[in-house]
Amino acid sequence: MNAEMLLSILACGMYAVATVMAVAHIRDPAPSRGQDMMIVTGAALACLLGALGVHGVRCGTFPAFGSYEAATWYAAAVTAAYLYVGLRHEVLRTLSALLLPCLGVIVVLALPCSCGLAGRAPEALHSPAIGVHVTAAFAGYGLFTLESLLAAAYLVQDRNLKRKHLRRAGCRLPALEVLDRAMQELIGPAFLLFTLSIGMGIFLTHLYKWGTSWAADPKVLLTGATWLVYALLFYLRGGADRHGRRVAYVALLGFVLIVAAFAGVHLVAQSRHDFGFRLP
Amino acid sequence: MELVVLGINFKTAPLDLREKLSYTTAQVREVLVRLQGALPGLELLLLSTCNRTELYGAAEDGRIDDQALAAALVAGAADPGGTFREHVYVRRDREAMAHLMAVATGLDSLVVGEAEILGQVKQAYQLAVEAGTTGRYLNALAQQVFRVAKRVRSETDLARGRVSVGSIAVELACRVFDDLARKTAMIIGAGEMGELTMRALVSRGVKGTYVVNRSLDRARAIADEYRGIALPFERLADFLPQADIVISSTSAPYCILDAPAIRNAMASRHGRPMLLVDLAVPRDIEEDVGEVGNVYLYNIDDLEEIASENLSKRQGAMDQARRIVEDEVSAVAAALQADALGIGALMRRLDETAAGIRDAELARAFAKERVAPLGPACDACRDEICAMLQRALAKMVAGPKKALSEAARSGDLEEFVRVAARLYGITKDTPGKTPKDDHET
Repeated sequence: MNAEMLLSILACGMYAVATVMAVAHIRDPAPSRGQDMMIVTGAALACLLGALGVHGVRCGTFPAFGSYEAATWYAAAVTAAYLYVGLRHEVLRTLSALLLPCLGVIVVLALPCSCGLAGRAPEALHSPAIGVHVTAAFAGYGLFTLESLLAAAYLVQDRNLKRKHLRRAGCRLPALEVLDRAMQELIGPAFLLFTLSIGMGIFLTHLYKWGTSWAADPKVLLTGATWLVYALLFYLRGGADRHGRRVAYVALLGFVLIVAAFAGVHLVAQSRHDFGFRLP
Repeated sequence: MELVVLGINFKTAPLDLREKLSYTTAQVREVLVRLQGALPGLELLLLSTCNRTELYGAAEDGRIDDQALAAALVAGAADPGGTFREHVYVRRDREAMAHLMAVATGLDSLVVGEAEILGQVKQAYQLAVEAGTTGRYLNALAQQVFRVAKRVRSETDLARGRVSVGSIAVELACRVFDDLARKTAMIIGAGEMGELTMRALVSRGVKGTYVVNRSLDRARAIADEYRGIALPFERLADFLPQADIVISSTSAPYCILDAPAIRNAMASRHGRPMLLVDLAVPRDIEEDVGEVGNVYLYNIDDLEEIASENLSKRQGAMDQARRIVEDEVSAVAAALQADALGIGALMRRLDETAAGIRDAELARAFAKERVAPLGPACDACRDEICAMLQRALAKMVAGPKKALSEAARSGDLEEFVRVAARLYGITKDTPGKTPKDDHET
């Protein structure tokens, strides 16, 4: 067992502890318990970042080119986004009971890939711009994922309130307006980071003179579609001051495209952003 | 004496049926007069709230025909051919009395322990008094019921915590909105329910309030109290888009807000949610409004779910209140039965007989100057002798009066009344004989 695996397992343990605390917090809300939960989640994030650092040192490159790195980056980005939102809106901490176990599962599934050096980058890609590109992309993905989780929670709460199911567990979700406001706060930084990542990717293609072949990459095409959806969402939130269910549906559509671009595309096509995953 | 209650409430009949058998304040008076014409000799009280319509009937003698009572009540309904009878409950005598007490104390309410219902019962009684449909029995019963309601409120925790429809509306608002201090509420209908809801919202920090009412003066009175803005009914559509929370509780017999009106209002809200709480029966807001996106419509029946949560939290207080009601039903039934049998009059006759004996004996003693050397100059001594005699006689009649009261509670009153009549030569209608009477005869 290498150090990054140990750190990832430790992060999963932290997620488990934070989930238990989140469930207890939902049953009996106490400010101190909520705070402790955030500290444990922060520790899980530190473990994941430590694992990425150790892996990067072992590989001798920026850790972003394998399945393990991608999954760990993604889990870390979503955790960071959650900490950002949870610190701003205490009532949203209840969502951790749903979110953290999912992140734990992602980290566990990526563990077998942590041993090898499949994520070693080509020599040509040893550039600081790659680091910016990858970090911005995952930070954007993390924020978009949380945006989508909030949108899903909004739609569940909307459904409960419409159908007057006021005693269901789902009704312990935060008030609609809190969810809506948090979504509004996230879309700006998420869209900017995602745009920065795409811009940096375009810059890299010019820097290394890769021509226009990247434009036909299915992952790039799906990422472009994702950007368009989030651009629409950004406009609806920021420009047209739109709220409510329809905007939440747009956020969910964006998440579907993220999943397709991030993982789904590898199941049906080859991509240069394959994170070591290749079709047989 | 017989007491009967029949009616429908939120437990037995759905809202669409209840709204067909509901009456406004003005209608209640007319209905009572009509019912008394149809059912002469009955004392009547009609309670019509958003959660119940109940008719109480009391008869001095004979059995009340509940079928006739139900037919007379339903005859005035919006849809007399409806299926009311399947949902009507009938209770008699002690059960009817216990029911009225449970209603007045809030034990039978949608929001258990709510304070509004006692005011509504008092108003129903007042309307019956004004319509001239109450008599000795219902007057006495109403006073006892109000006393019991007061006792329950003071001796139990039933009224503590979240105990009004208004406070439930606030709780609903908290599920939709984050910070009520930044929200605007609109109350349509400046009745008691609207005002109570407004109070609950303002106490939770609601920023702005609009009071919409057909009578602008009444709207102003409430708006001024809560630093709101009074609006005539015609301006409702103009200000509706600004309202985050709309509470409607008018007595209009038709819907005042429909789906197109709400869609228009929502168009300028950019998807921001709007909570509509319809407390009126018949409903003020069309059911289709609930289908409009980002609009959350709740009517009085929908509040039941939150109310039931409220119920489980205060089970102990409810049990305590029920025990008080059970105790009081026995006591009140005994008191009313005793009153019907004339125990009060009988006791007054006992007192009068004792007073007669005292006066006659004193007059005879002082007239014959047997109590020498007391003359007219010694008033203090004379008063002391009078008081002493009065105390002695009062103690003498205290025993029989206590026995009569106990007999009334145990149901043996009629026998005791006969014994008292034989012992003292009195009935509830005729005074007993005094020594003076003996002399005269």
